[in-house]
Amino acid sequence: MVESQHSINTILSFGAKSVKPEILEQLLVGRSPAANYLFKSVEGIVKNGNNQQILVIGQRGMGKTHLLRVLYHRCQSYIKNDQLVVAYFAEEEYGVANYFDFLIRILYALIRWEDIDKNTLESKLEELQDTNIPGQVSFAERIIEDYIADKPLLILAENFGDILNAIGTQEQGKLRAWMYQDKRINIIATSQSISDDFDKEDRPFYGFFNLYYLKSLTYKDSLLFLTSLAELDDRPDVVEHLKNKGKAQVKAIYELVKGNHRLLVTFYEFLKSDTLAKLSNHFIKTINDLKPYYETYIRYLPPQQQKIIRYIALSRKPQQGTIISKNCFIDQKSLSKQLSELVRKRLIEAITDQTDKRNKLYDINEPLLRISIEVGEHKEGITALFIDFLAIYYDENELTDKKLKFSDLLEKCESSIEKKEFQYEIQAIEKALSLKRYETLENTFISSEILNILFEVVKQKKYKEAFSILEREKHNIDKLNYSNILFRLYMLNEQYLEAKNLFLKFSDEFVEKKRLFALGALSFSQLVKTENSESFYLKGIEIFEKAEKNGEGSEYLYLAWGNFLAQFATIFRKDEDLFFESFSKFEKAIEYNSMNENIYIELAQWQFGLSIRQKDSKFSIKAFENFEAASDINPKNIRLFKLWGGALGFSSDYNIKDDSNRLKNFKGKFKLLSFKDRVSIWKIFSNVPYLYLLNNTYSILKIDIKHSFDELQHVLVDWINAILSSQLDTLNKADLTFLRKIAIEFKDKIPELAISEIYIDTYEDYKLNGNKNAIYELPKEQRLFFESKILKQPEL
Amino acid sequence: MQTPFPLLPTIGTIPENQITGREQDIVKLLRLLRSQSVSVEEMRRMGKSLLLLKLAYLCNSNLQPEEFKQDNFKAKYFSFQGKQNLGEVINLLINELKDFKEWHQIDFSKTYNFIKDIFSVPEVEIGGAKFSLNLPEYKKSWKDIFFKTLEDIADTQAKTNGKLILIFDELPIMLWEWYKEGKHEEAIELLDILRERRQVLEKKGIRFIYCGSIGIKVVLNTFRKDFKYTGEPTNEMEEFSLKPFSENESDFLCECFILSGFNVAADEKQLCLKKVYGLSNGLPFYISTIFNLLQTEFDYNITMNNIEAAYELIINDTKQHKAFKQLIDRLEIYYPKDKKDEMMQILNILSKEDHFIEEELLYTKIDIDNNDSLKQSLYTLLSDHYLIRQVIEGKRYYKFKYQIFKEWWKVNIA
Ligand SMILES: Nc1ncnc2c1ncn2[C@@H]1O[C@H](COP(=O)(O)OP(=O)(O)OP(=O)(O)O)[C@@H](O)[C@H]1O
Ligand SMILES: [Mg+2]
Repeated sequence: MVESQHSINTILSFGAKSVKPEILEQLLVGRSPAANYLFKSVEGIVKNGNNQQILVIGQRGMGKTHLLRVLYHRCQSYIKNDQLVVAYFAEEEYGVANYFDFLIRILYALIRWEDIDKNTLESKLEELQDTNIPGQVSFAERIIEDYIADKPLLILAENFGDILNAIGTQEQGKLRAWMYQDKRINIIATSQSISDDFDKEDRPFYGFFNLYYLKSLTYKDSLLFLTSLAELDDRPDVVEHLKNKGKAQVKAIYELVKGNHRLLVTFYEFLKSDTLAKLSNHFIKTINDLKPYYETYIRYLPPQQQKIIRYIALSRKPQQGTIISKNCFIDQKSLSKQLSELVRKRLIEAITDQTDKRNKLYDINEPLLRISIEVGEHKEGITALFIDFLAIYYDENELTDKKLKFSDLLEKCESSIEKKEFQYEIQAIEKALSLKRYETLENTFISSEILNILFEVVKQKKYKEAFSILEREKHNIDKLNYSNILFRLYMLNEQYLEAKNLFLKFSDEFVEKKRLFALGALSFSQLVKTENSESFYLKGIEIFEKAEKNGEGSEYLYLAWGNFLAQFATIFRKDEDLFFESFSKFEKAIEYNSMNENIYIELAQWQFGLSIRQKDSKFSIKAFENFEAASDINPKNIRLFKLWGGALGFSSDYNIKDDSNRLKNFKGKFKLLSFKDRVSIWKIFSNVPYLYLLNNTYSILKIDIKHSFDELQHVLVDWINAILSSQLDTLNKADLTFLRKIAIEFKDKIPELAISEIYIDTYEDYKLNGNKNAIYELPKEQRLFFESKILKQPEL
Repeated sequence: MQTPFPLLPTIGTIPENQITGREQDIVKLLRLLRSQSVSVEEMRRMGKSLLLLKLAYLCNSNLQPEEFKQDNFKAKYFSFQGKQNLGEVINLLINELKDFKEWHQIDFSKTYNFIKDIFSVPEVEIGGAKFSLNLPEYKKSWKDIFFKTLEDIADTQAKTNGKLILIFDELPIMLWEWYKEGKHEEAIELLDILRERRQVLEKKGIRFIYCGSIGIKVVLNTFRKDFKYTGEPTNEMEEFSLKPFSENESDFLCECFILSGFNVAADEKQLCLKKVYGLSNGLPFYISTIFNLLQTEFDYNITMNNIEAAYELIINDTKQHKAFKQLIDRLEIYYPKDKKDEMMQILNILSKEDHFIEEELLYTKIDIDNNDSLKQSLYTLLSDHYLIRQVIEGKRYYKFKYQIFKEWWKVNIA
């Protein structure tokens, strides 16, 4: 039996290799046929002298690691009897870039798992390191061949599709050549999907592997599996629970995770945490762990496929091809190609439409994928999902029950950390409760015909029409609903003033019940540009606070809140505490979603502003860190670069301590933008009168200009003019020499620069040499320009 | 008649002593090889490599058919797949032939001296893993080194009074990869050696088998078109075309599979074997695929229904290997677009016909004006193994080579 809870957590998670074989066998629910098939293959290899190359395909969390682990364990007696050599790869074999690396991984695997011959192998490996590079491959092959001698070699590898993809076609060819030349090389590998590398005519491994698809667990298997977990976990109460009431819950879980092993383990924690506190911890942790994993996965899909996946995931139910085509703006023909690609990659699943058999519906195949996309997109991030989950999982009574229980615990609890956690649970439960109520509301909402129509119209963004329908039907809708809808329509139609005013008429009770505080607060934050009385801000802050209290906190609420406070502080020159409060809201927003670059950008802006105000570099350092953080999340955000570059320019002037890394980081990222993006940024920069920025980015600009004179010729001219006319600091001789150099360098291609050059000369004469007559050397229009724009003398 | 042995279904490699069937093919091949070199071409996964591996195995273990015992054939199989330049090819030859030394006492000292003469490199360890010619300064003389290596082998060979078959598997695809990477000069260099020196080497008892899933002709045609290449490196090489398994061979393979742990009712077995043969057209790849599905999807039960259901999966299920997609892929990968379109049209029409179609009749049915171009496309499809041809009274008739391919084309493409 399991000694500690901990091992249950790790059983089917990423570390399945370290769990005891007996436990793995015991948890083999639903996978026995797969394990038996694979083991039979191994028997064939050992006993009949056959070769086998098998690819096991299953989505994440379907128990591939588990399966290989079981298989490896079952091979032990063959290994001990010297009948088989197994190279068992680590789960994440990163950094396999070519065939040679692959061979090295085999050697490492042998060293790791075969204790007996460790030393010989290690010394061979050293010898290999001394071999000259061209000879290394054949030498490595030879070491392996010598080691296995006349025994068959079995390579167990995970994520084999990724490995092949990483090493590329030619290197795959070498691997296959080796397999044909050397008689006894077997592979049993896993992959999440089947890619071109297994299926295109010009790829070495075209039609080479026997395919074995893992199937999702059935509901029955899921129940069995959870029961096994509970038994292992030594929790007779949970086992009991699963025989009775728990069944219904497992149904709910099953619907959600579609028989995915890893997720079932996750939800096992829920089953048993009924009596424990901290429902949310496990949920949030798991989802958070998985998120980046999926993000990288989607990132490598072609854009159209990404779009389709996102659309289907967020729709939350199977969608028709035509609808997808419309919403993703992909024409039918390419859509069906992309869809079938996605089906092949097993990312989506095609289902026959029961209402119309000729139609197909498409759904996300993998619940984890859907959840992780939702976490990314969902306005309220993980919390919302958790609340959703609670709402599906428990009925209203249970939720109320739980809430009471947690409240009790809260009373008794001493530690402040725990207190916080309980509060969080209670909040989440409350939200789940209100969601349940809201859902019933929503249902009446949808079922009413008028609202149905409205809903459609709004979906198509035809707000005008929506307004007139609402007016027309005013008498058929109850008053509160009417105001609610009107308010939302105002928000949608960006009529924030009307929205705000209407909002202020609502009773707090109504707002609370309908959870409208956040929207109300947003209406305030949208009005900062036009409203500037102190009372407006104070009222706004009050609403933000209420929204938080009402459990409407979200990434967006806090983002808006942060901005709102900072704006307030700036306009009314409030003391710094208010800024600090604003920053803490941004931090809150980041807690909700650490992958939204906009939060970092906004925060950085205000931090930089504060640092200028304080004439102190403390916050500018933070600001630049946040710019960098934003660029790590989204290296393509144009607005970011505009602000970031601007801030760099400013910082030169404000005597804020310079840090050469700062520039390097900026330039490094800036270079990675597309040419087109950079063009739009150059245009902005050319209005920022900082020689410092020009000076430091010139090397990049130069290349871009050479790339396209047409688009960038004005940038140089404008920029030089802007710098000359800046009153902020006087340029010295070296500065002017630099500007002149630029003008001369490009004046052949950009004739206007010839004039810039004249201005530069005149500037030097006039300002540095004190020759006020210099301007009279200029033709009249130039003189006028120079006087009004560069010297900023009022026109006569 | 041999007795069946247990063999798990596989579409990957098979140990050389377990490769089934192909006895007749091997006899034919060896007869050809007595007097000349041979080129083996077929589409992918048709069993080329396994045939050649078996041939080599039989020769080297003295198991060759009786009539060849006198010929003293030995054979060495090389797969050129993924080799990136001549240096790697030479490395492969020398490294692999090291194992051969016991038979032939091949003496690489000539090569060794030769290299030393040219480059005055003091320590080139020949035959060992440290031996390598990848260094850039060798590049200009690869051609000579390559030939020297072969000549060393041939000289020893001449003394033994036997024949050494060098099997160059995936030679065309390697050249094609080089071509795609802009290394056509090196490719042409290799082709030149093989052209200029082949006869010399053959006289000394060396035989070559070039083998690949794309015809060496496809490569040559591309070189002719793109680089005005005029050599004829495969001149006088007999082209050997692979056939599907005969019914006997198919049955034997099935028997082996069955022994690995399938269930079949005794009275249904013969019928089932017949069915497998019929549906797979005798292509071993599909025989194996059917059995693989029988084990994974149908719990090792061989019944008529299950066989048909497995076949359905092969033809229709997107989860299975797109086994037939190569028919399209090949046209896209190796031919220019206009040619491809033309060939697609031809295949579309032929896929709807059950019998041989006469060329002129085809011309009337098709939207191709240029009769020469049509002829050329037909010829390409013929030599690329899509079609087979009959000539009756001077008229040419065409048809899909494999029924199973035709069915697929009709359902999925036409
Ligand atoms: N003689 C045979 N006995 C049993 N199975 C065979 C035989 N020949 C071919 N097969 C089946 O067909 C598959 C492919 O065979 P092989 O590797 O020889 O094809 P190929 O033509 O060389 O393919 P490629 O063009 O991809 O190199 C084998 O894995 C096996 O399933
Ligand atoms: Mg082959």
